[in-house]
Amino acid sequence: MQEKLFAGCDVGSTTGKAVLIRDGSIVGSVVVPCLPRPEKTAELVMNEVVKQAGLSSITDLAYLVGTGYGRMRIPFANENISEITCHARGASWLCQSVKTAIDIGGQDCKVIGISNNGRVREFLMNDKCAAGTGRFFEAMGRVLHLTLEEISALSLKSASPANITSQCSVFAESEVVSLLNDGVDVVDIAAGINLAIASRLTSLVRKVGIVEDVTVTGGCAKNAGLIKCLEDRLKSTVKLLPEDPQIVGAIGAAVLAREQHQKLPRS
Amino acid sequence: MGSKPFTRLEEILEGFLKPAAMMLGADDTKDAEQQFMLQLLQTLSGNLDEAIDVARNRQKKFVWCEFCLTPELFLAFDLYPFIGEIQPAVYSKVRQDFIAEFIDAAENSGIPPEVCSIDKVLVGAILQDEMPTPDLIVTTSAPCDSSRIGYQIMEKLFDAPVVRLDAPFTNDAGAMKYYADQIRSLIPTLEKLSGKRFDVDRLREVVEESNRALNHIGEWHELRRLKPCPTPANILMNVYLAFLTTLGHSRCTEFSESVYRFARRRIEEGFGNKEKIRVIWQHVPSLFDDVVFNWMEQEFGAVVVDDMMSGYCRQLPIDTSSLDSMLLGLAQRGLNMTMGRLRMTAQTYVSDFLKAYHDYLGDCAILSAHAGCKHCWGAVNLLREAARRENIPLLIFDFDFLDSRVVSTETVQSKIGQFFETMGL
Amino acid sequence: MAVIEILLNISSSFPNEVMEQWRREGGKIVGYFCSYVPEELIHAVGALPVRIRATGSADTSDGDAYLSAYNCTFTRHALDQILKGKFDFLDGIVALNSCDHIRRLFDIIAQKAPRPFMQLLNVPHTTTDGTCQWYLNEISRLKQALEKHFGVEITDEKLRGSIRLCNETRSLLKRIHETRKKPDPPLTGAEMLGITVAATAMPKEQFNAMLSRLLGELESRVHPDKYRARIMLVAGLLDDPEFLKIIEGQGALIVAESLCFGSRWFWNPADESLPPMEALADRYMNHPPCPRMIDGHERRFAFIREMMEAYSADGIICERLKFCDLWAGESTLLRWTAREAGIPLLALEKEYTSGGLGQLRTRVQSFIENMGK
Repeated sequence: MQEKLFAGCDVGSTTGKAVLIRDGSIVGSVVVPCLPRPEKTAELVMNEVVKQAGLSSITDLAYLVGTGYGRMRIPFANENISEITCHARGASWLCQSVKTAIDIGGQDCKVIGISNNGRVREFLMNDKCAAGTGRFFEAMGRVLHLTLEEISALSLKSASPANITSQCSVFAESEVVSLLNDGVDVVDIAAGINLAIASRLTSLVRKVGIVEDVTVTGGCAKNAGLIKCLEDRLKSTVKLLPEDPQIVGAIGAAVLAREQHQKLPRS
Repeated sequence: MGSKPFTRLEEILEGFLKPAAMMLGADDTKDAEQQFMLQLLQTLSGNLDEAIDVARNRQKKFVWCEFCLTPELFLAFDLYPFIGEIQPAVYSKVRQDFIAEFIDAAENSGIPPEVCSIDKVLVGAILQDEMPTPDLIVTTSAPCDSSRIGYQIMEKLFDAPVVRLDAPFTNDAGAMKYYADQIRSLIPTLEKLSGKRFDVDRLREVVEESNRALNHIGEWHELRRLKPCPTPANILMNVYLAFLTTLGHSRCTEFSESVYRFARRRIEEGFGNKEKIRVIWQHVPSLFDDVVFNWMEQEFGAVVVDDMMSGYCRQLPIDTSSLDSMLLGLAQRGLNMTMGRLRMTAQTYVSDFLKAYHDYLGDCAILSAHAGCKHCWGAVNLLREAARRENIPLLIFDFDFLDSRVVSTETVQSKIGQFFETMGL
Repeated sequence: MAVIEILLNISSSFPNEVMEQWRREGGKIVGYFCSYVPEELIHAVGALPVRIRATGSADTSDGDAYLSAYNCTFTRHALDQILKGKFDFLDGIVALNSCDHIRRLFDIIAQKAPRPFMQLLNVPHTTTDGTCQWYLNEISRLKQALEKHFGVEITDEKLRGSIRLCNETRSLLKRIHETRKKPDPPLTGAEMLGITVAATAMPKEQFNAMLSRLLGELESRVHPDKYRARIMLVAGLLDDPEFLKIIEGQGALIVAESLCFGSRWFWNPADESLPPMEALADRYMNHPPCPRMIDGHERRFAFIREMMEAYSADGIICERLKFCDLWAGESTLLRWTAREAGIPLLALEKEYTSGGLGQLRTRVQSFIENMGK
């Protein structure tokens, strides 16, 4: 008999993610932009993923774990687990050698030290401050009239990245405007932005300790220019995961859903 | 400066402390905790009553003392020692709107936001005519840059006479003698101010009184090492604030004894315990809210068994055999019972933490890094490494211990909750 | 090449070519962090005293593993350089309780990347007879430690020689500084800063010889740029002539300064008639004070007032590093005091490495316009 379906639902600050697993493999995954209310985002993303797997209703799922900023507001979740635990488990499940995960989310970034059994050894969050988050890249993109993909692609072409010194994204924005007015090439500014963020992330990683393999999760992991800067700074290769880095938290939640379900008393 | 200082402090006293004490006092069925809370409220009220009375009527000279000076020498001259740095905590605990008013006033006058909020509140309170002009200011060069420059600003605003003591950053015998000599050099100034001859026997009486108080506090701390810890964490900072301002006063000694008795009574009553996690709290916890401690105890059975400031109160009694020995003791006590201890190395900061963790049988640690404390921010990552070496689960978060606008109680709670959950505590 | 260009070149990097040459010839180098460190003692053991800068650093990612965003960017850059091994040429580091950031910086270096000779001085925050005696004891401890580590005895005769040499540097720098009293100063503020920075990063013997030549050259030099206002610059740690160039590019010629890398460091000589250690204690505890000195605000402001009068300065620009509490308070006090005295003042703040230059230009320009210049 086929195993039941387990689900993870990660409602973040900018996107909602859902993943279904069965028999140790992913059978469905969906990413949607957030709606104003987390419960609506959860509903939307879960309906989509259920449809993708050919189920008729969310109630057909064996167990659902919610995670992310909106995790308290997912009405149909059996349980909610913090996104730190989920990211650690997701990264470790996808690639057992991963011992350090850097998650660059929409409004915060975290560095998670992972023990051999996929549990959290130590973690560190950088919140309150937009530097090193998706929001920062959005703000820079606005000033430069570029998308995240364009910043990534352009930054790889620079031979002399601009020096952006401000820690604060608000000040960094005015620095970028200054650089543009001084006629600095957009390519070098894009590279400077990635370098500034990589530098900030590196110091966070050093605080938790660089234990290889290191991976990056979250939407910004798709910024190849950032990954390259990060590798230079960390003097370590970033291990790429075999799945979309944005859904790692949801994968972890689904994996944990299966574990939690097995702990339930058999009826 | 305004003619009627402490109008806001009076609001706190009359509008909050006294009514709360009245309500508790009227209840005949007080348990040990309520009985203790009543004593705490009465002590705090007594302290504020005296501060307001002396500030307005000057039956005694009003001496503004920086945090790293203990009150004993001033009490020996029958002067009123006003410990400046304690006051922001009093405002913060009861009226966040006053804290906002003072901090905004300081920042609007040009003080940059990154200065420690203790000094911003004091400067702002002076600008807003809340603080009385003292008859004398006595300051030290401990504990930090913020207070070193903060006092230079306060001096200018007050235009009052000032004595400045230099505090070295080590605790060795030479350093303590050097600092004790400076305390000694205060004596002629205090004689002149009070119109009284210095009487070494009177100082001895005051120091013996403060020794008794610290002895009770020490005994209470011993009891906190028990599993489960007999007293709730929400009293930790309250105790510290209540006794530090009046050390050497009989009111302080009686209160300190009541703290110890409260713990004993709880043990004898076999208080119902839900202690599951013993937390060591490094650095200064939120002064604007005790709710976090209660919430931790109720939600997680997590009890803060020791915090850094309380830890600093574990002081040996002062040897009262001679004036020299007393001055040495006061030097030592002033610089180590307060944030003055942060003037020492980062390694001291870390080893103090590890000692508390082991002595108080901690299961994990929480470090609330005060945004304005550069000493702390320069040492947190060495502490993080030390905690990792010893497998101590550690949460570090930043906030402002006086100003809830910086990081709210809800955010602090969500971080702590996430920490307990993620680390499987 | 003109002397001034050689000196500006020396100041533009850390380490520089002269320091590297010194190393190649087997010389020892001891770095220090603050103007309260008596360089004479380092010189007297035959080592080269250099003031540590993080010039050229563009990153703090290694440093931030220990320091944080709440610490000043100078200490973060300096720690980064040290952890990256860029300061391995230093045989020793001498620091003191200058400020909380430097204190913790030293603690971290001592634990994570110590150099062979490490000393932390306990320097008083007030100037009285008692504290000067304490400082004398502290520098005696430094003297003994240097003697022991470098295996060289510091005789009174040697120390007198070192004092004479440093006094000569001070006197030459003061004479150069004084050329700016003229209506057409031969030097810009940026150039003056470059010269004093060079003085902290090369052998004094060489520097003094070059400065004597420079004094001759300056007699016939007239600075080509027109200026709109004469400015007194007041700051803590500021070692970047490029930053001054931007200010001066707006027509604000810096004619005088109270800087840690400037007049506060070289203004007063040591008294050569005193026993040498006493002369040092007296000199360093009484030089124009930094805001770390809690009894120093009046002396600091008097120094600025006298300087402004002597140099006919129109206004003050006060700069500080973000997260520096001492200068946060000092700039506020200075603003209040200047307002009472009717002196125009512009307060600026920056990170250690310059950034946000567009805004800076606008602020300086409008400051000059508001002065009616």
